[in-house]
This record gives sequence, structure tokens and C-alpha cells, in this order.
Amino acid sequence: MTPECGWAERVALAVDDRLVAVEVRQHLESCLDCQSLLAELQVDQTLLQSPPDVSEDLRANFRLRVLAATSNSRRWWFAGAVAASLVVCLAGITVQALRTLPVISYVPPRPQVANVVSPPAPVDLPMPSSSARISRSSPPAVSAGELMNQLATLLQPPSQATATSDAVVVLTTTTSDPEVIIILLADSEGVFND
Amino acid sequence: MLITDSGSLSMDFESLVRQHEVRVLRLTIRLTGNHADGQDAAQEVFLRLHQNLSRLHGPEAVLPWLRRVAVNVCFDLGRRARSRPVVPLDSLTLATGESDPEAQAFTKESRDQLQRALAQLGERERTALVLRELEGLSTAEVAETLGTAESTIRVQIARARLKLRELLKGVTV
Repeated sequence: MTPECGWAERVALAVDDRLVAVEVRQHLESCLDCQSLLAELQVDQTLLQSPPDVSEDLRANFRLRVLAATSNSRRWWFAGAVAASLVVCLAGITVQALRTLPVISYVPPRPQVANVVSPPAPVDLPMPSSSARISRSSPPAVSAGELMNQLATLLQPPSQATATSDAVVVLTTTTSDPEVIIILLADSEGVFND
Repeated sequence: MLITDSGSLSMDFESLVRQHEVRVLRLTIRLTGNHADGQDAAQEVFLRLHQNLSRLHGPEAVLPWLRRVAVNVCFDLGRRARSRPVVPLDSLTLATGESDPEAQAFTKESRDQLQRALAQLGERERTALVLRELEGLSTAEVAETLGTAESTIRVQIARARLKLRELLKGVTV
């Protein structure tokens, strides 16, 4: 029975301690319940210290189980490594085979799109006031050089102009400034147009 | 058993199993409360040893490592099977040397009672008590194995003894 004195836990601790505290020893001398408890705990200790018997047959069977399991695990590792190698080899062979095959490509016909001179990007012009900035997106600004290029495609160059009665003779005078070009148009009679 | 330059163990696994199987089996059987689970747990312990052999440094590291892993494996088993099976341990005999059939029957009853009582203890209390009594570890060693303070282990063991006594009332060896 559990002693009513409240010393049970200290008595239980005393089972482990070879050097039982003086006060516990003194209590044990005077408390019969605690003496009885200590004796019972020591019996339990004997019971607990008795190891479960593991027979030789059990050991042998167990060892076989363990060794078989570790060997299986090694076998699985090996099988996994072989499988992974095969997959890598097959992938390599497939890639190589795909590279050697003739490539048949289809190029769709190009849609007919008129050549359009794209307008240049909008230009921010410097304004007197730094805070007031106006973005000009239209009309598109065309530089003098681009205008000349367009004119040149429309008109034959003077050197190739044929002197027919209706032919227009174009005389161009370039200046040192590439942006400034003077164009003089004259008819076959030499009359200049403004 | 060999110790390589790096200090890791390079030893015959089978010889390690032979060397430690009895201790591990006894511990796992006692902690799981039955023979079948004990063997399963011990097998898992040795499989882990096989996987981690190269990480152990020195032969003296093997037994404490096995003990710690055995405790962890048994904890895991206990968590998986919340309701702990209590099976009479027919195949286990206490080392009492009794030859009298009546005394043997009485001992078997005690054995079963002990196993049932242990199964009713808390997981950590049971483990601490078994490590202390069956493995004969000091309180400090039990504390190290379970990763708990020594003072906590002392109290746990004392309370486990009292609970076990309550559960074993009227049973004598």
C-alpha cells in the first residue's frame, strides 16, 4: 500500500541511490509503510532487471532477417543505379537519332505588305519653360534628307533624264549643309518653275 | 573491426549484428511490450546501423548509438500503434533458474503482469525505467540517451517505480 506519510517519492528515489539521504533513512527506521514500500520496490527492481531471454534460435533467425534485409536494400540500390544508367543511355541514343534525321521545314509565304515609311518617333521639343513640356506626336516630322530621298525615288536623277519635249530637267544644287538642298525644276524649253 | 584513417568504422556488419543483437533485442522487446514488435524494431535499428556505419567513429560509439536509435524506433512504433498491444510473452523467460513447474507458472504470471504494467506507463517513464534497470545505465546516461535533464530523469524513474508498484500490487516474483 502507498504510505500516507507523503514520503513515497523520496523512498522511490532511494531505490536508485546507494547513498540514501540521512533524513530518508531516519524516516524509514520509523515508518513501517515506507519500509514495506521500499521492499516491494526492490522486488520490482529485481523483476525489471531480469532480461527477457533471447534464445539462440531467435538470434539466428533474427540475424538472417537483418542480413537478408540489408542485402535486399543493396540489391535495390544496384537495380536503381542500373535502371538510371539505362534511362540515360536511351535518352542519349534518342537525341542522337533525332539529330541525324533529315529536317523537313515549312516556311509559310510572306504576306505582301506595302513598303510604308514609318514615321519617326515623337520628338520632345525644348520649351521656354522647363515645367511645360508638350509632346508632339502629329504631324510627323520629316527631315530634309528623307524628303530628298523620297523625291529622288520619284524623279530621275539629272544625269539619266532624257531630253524630250515634255521631260522635266531637274537641276539640284547642294550646299555644304546636308539638310539644305535647292531644287530647280525646268521644262524642256528651259523655263524654270517656281 | 577496423578503424580507417578518417576514424570511421569499417567493420564487418555481420559481426556487429552478432555482437549487439542480444542487447538490442532485449531492449526493444521490453520497450515495445511484445516479441514481434521487438524484433521488428530491432531489425529497423540494425538497418539504420547499416546505412550509417560510415558515420560512426570508433567501436565504443556503436552501443550508445544503437541504444538511442532503439529508443527512437520504439517511440515511433508506439506512436504508430497508439493502442499498445499487450501480448503475453510466452517466449520470454526470466532468468530465475526456477525448475519447479508451479514456480515457473507463477513467474510467467509475474512476467505478464510486469509487461502489462510497463505498457500502462507513460512512454518516457517506461523508457527511462527500462534503460535504468534493464540496460543498467546510470541516471546521467539515461538522461543523455533521452536528451533530458538528469534531475527530470530521476523524478521520472521514481514516479515510474511507484506507478509500477501500484499496477503490480499483489504480484510477487
